[in-house]
Amino acid sequence: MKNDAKNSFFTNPLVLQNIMYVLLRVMSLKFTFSKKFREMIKNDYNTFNKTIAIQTRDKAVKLYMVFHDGKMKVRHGIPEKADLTIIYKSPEIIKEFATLSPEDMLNYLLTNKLTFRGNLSYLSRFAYLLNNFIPPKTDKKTETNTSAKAVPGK
Amino acid sequence: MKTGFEHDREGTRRPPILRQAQALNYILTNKKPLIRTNSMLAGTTTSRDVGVMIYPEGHGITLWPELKTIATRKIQPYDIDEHTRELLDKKVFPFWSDRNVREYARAANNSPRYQELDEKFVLYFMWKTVALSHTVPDFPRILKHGLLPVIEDAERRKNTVDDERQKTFYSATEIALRGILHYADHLREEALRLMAKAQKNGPAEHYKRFADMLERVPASGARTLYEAVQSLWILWIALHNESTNAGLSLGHLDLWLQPYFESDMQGLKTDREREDYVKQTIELIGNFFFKCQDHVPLVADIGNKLFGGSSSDQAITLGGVDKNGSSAVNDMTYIFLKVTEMLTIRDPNMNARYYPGINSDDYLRRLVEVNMVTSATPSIHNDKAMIQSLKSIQFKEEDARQWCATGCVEPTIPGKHFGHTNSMMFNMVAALEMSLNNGVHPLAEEQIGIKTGSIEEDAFPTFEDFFHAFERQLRFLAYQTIDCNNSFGFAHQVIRPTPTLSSMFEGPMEKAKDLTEGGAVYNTSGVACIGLTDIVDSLMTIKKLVYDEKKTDFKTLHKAVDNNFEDYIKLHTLIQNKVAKFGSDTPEVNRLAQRVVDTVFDIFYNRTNYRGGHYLVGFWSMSNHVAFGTLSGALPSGRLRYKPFTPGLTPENVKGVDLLSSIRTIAGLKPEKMPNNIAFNVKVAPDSRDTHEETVDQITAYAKSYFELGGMQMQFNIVTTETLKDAMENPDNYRNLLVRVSGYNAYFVELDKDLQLEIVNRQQMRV
Amino acid sequence: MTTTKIRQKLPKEPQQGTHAMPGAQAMIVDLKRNSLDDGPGIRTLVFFKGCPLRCVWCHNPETKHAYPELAFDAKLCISCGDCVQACKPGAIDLDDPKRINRQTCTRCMECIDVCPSGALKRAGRLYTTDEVFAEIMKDEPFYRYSSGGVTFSGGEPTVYMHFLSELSARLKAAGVPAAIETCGLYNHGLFEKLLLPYLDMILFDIKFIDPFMHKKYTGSTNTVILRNFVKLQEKTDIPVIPRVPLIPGITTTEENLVSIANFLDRNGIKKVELLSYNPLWTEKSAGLGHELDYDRKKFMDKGEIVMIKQIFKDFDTGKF
Repeated sequence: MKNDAKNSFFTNPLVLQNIMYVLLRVMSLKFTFSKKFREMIKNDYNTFNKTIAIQTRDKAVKLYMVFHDGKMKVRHGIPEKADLTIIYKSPEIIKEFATLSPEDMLNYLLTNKLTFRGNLSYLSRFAYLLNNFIPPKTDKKTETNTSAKAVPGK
Repeated sequence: MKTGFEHDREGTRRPPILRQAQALNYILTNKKPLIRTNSMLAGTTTSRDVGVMIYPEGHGITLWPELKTIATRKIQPYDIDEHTRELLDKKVFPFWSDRNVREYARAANNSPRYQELDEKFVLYFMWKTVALSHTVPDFPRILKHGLLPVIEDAERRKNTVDDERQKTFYSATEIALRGILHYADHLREEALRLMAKAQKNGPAEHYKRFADMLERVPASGARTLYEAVQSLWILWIALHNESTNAGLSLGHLDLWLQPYFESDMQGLKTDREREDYVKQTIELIGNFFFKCQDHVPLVADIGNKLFGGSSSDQAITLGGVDKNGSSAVNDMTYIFLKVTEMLTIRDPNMNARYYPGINSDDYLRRLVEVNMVTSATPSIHNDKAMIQSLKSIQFKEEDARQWCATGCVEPTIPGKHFGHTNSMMFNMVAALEMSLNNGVHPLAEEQIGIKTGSIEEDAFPTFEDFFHAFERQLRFLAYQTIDCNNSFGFAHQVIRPTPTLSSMFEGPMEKAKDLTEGGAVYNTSGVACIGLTDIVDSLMTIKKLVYDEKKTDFKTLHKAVDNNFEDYIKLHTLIQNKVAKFGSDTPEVNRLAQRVVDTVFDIFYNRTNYRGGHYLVGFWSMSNHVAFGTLSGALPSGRLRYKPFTPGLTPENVKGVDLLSSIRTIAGLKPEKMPNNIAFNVKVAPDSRDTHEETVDQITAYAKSYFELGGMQMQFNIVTTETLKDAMENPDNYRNLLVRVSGYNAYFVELDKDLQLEIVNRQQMRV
Repeated sequence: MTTTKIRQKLPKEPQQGTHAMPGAQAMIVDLKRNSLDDGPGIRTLVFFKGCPLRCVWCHNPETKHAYPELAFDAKLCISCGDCVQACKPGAIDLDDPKRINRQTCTRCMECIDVCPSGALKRAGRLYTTDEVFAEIMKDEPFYRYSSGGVTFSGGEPTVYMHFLSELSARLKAAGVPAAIETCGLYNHGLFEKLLLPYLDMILFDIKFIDPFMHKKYTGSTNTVILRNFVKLQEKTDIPVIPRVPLIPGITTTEENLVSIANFLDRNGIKKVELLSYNPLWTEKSAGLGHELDYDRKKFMDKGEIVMIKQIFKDFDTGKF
């Protein structure tokens, strides 16, 4: 299984690294061009100035994002200091990155497909950014009649 | 270590407890006062009729990834408007990103290994990342005298102490409690406003009653049952606005409300008046039950996986004995039971205490009957066993007699005992898996535990050698959880002190010490140990087949387990058929089970928590037996990979395990080693040919025998497998079908599919 | 396992219509706990092995013979073949759907030890009264709180009259009520002296009134049986409840049921238990290698039930 996967084009670490890079670059462009999107990392209340790294466990894929003053830069390699490092178990998992729905991000923690170092809040935030960048999958929708209102408790 | 809000906006230094008090005061003072036309109680938990509580300093931020999808997710969807979503994303969540319990503890302890292990989610789950809560306040005192004496007491004490820290504590108490009075005042004004608007006679009278009551409670003592319940409801709202609501429980309400009921009754002259009064009381308590559901605990999707269907578990306790040891069963007990029977709702979580020999047979029979009608609630506790258990570990007899169920089933001494009875869900099976793999956890694929020897290198010449390895892994894992719990506990002291709750306890006011700092009389922490059945059955397999009868060798068994028994059908069949199982009441298996219980009890009891108390173990699982199970490999017990563990303390539904044997087995375990209680689920399907009376009699006989044999707790799921299967296919027809998962109730159709299947397959005992 | 020891102590097969010699031990197939259908409350059923009758429909075929038998359950077998290796006489063949050649099988039971699935099972072993008493007493509180107790079943429990006498006397002393299910073929004198003082209920099978039919389908006439039944009515105040096994085409003929109803009526009896036919016995029988003289695979249908209800409309038939 693993050998097959390694031989496949889309799980080749180098290919994945580049696909990821391009994807994140597009994301960073969206921060530049979309005011609404940019406001998610820079607004009246808060500016998100943090570094998030993405790796596979074997470090075959490694890149990172630097968020600063409403901009996001993408870099190859491992940053000196990351506020959050997202570690994927294997390239097979990272392949799903582009189609990941946000709730899956945390659920992957459960099945050990994904681990992290650093701040879990940033992981949640990053998942939400992704969710706004790539529309969430719609197949999870079901009609329901038992919903409550969400309001901040404090 | 800084929280980032040591100072207020003006830059003045502000201790955490003062900040919390001011925050609560602000919220309650500015909270929209809501009185519904058709409700008998004024006030709402959130600013809407029904709402979700989000506590960003707790686990609120886990909702962040789902802000867009939350309204359409499958399980427990919440409506959310654009404004709220923006507010949470841009202002609330970013502000609290570093200021929540989890992140504060991580930073304060420099990303410790125990927290890293916590975040693998398969070894243990630490409830302090969500809430501390899980206790019962001294409501009788506040209901009787009101909040004003507490405020006066705080003021008086503040003026007599010199210590700045102590002064702050009393100020905080006063500020927090004044917030509650503001809220009550605003509700009263709202009642007056509505009264002026409404027509005479009908609604105007309704609002006038509120205005009159709120003039008095909760500031002063209640004079009538109605005032007492209204007062209780406002206190309840306040506590929920102070901190996350997880297992905060209402206490021994039948006993506590009975004096008001009696004094109301004394004022009535005719039978007709008394009859009407009882009807009104049933309606009032019914209203209170509904009110308890006016908010939903925030559960992220990951939480639905871990705690499917659980509500906030606001437990109410009925019956048993009072502090003098006399029967506490009274009129209000039966009124609460009537309401439970009529409403069949999951929350409040009803727990009934039964003291064999002191409480009547009729009472027990009534409990069983209500359990049957509702198909799942109340759960029934053996008062004698529980009191004995608590007495054996430091609790005074008079205190032990006052125990109340908390959250699911765990005991708390109201107003004295801050026991965070569900501080963690501890996966004992993970320790077993690590002892089979020299410390490597198979799912995590890394060396998590200590090296205790490899089966492949013949490290275990005898069964005792292997048991010792298991014990060492168990201890290792337990110590991780203890360190983790303590670190989160310290974080709570800084992030979320609880001035309001503290004022309703004996201890904090006298010592000027918040509950989070150990202000209470009793300061234990409760542990829920998960997987006892799976462990005992696994150890028994190893002992029997590898060491005693030598029908296989350990390496082969290990390989079979690693391969999920594929290509090992014969060995799997042998395990299923020729090894005595937990629940079969076989002496050797019983001894082994008791040994595991004793071992885990000792490991935890001998450690001290951050408030100076002991760790107490219990054996119940909420729904984590499913969550942990779906994350675990195959076991020597024959359980296959990713299958749920057995719930609570319930034997596996296998050969040789019949209802009576499992009742005897569970009743035979020593209560003093399970002070945080147990959850023994028995699913019974009545024979359609039996009459209602006959079925109630039979189930009562099971319960009575179990308690006589010394069993601690038991809960019946009275329903047929066919009904459950049909409910899986036609959920719309079964919206109200209540089942006991393990220690708590849930609507069957709202459960995760895996959990539904687990319940369908759970031991079904024919009645 | 103590296979060899037990084999040496096999009691002789009781002859039909007679009473096997007593002893401190009895051949028992099984103790079934938490039974709710054979008498009031929660009960433990003791299945004695051995019976003087040979009913063609016998629902508990494993209790006919008073010696241990080898039972095979094809549904459980995983065809591992370990039994073939263990069988010294070579009586087991995996290709044979019945698995066991009963002619060559010596009932040494060696195969049971190696069988991982429980497909091969020993039916019947000797118990002492101590052993059975201890097993029964485990559930004592359940009997007490449900007005339940013990029911001796079988087979025919009275085959072990002295054993039963000792056991039921001890149970009586311990406050555990005891009921017996009997085919009625026993020596009344012994029964009255040894058993009756300790019993709380008798469930008495009435299968036929016509002695020739009885002989045809059970291998024995019913003269003694019916006489014993009538005697019991005179000799005791404890409930003696007649039970009619409903075997379609055999006992359920209108003629037979009407004559049973008349017989009961004559004896002033108002309550009767009607036992519905359960075809599952045929599989059990096959697993023991018994030849089947009667084979109906269906449960009773509505029409049959309505007819039967009509005949017994003047009786209390409980949950039937």
